[in-house]
Amino acid sequence: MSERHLHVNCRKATELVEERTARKLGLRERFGLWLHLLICAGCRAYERQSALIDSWLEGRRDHPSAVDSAALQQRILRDTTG
Amino acid sequence: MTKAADTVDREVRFKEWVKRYTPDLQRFARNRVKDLAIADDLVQTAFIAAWETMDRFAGESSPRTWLFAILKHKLLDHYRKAYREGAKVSGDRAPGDDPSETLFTPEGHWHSDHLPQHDSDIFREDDTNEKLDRALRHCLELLPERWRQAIEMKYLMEQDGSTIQQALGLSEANYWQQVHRAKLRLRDCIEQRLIPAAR
Repeated sequence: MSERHLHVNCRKATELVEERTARKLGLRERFGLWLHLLICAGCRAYERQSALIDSWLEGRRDHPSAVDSAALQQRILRDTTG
Repeated sequence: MTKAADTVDREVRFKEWVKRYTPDLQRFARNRVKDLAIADDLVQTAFIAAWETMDRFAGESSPRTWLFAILKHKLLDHYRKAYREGAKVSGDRAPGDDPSETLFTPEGHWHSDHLPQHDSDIFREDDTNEKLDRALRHCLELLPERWRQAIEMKYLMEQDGSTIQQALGLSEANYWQQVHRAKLRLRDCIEQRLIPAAR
């Protein structure tokens, strides 16, 4: 294993933080990321904030809202059974 | 049952569905499409499709599940079109698209003025943080249209990567590059907006 393969810079680290949510990283990637996060406070902050953005984006899915459906229901019936 | 009675029965059932499921479907669509009028239109299109194919609905799932499946299909279609429009407007590689050029040095380290602030708590996890909420909304709007569509598909439609890649005609590497760039820019934009005076 050469040093080059283990070296993860900030650009690569942020990329791995994103990809990690969807796929299992390889051993080298995991180790490289772990090592990088250990020494880089900026990327640790990125990791935290990225997760926060994720949960905010996901949270919008279940936003409870009152809807007035009467007009839409009328429109639907007019275009189908009407 | 006579044919006429069949038709009446069909109509009664459909009207019942419209009455019962429209609010839930509408809420679902409105949480996923920015423009409320477009969201409502998609619900209407879904119901029209349901009306036309109702005879094929065997009742294996509940009508609710079936209607939601049709609506999700319409929503994905909408995202796909919006993505293509976005790609047309800005081209596949608009200049200045790659935030890593401004955020990172050629060696791949953070530029000092874009380094995520780790000692401030502006990014704290707090649902009532209205300022953060406003910043997120604002910054999401500033993303190139096709990135926004890709991100919204990922988070709002709960689609896995391969489904989105297929729908948008992107390679896996290309898709992750877009997600990565979008997130980099979003995060940076939020931070710049929340602490403009600190820099």
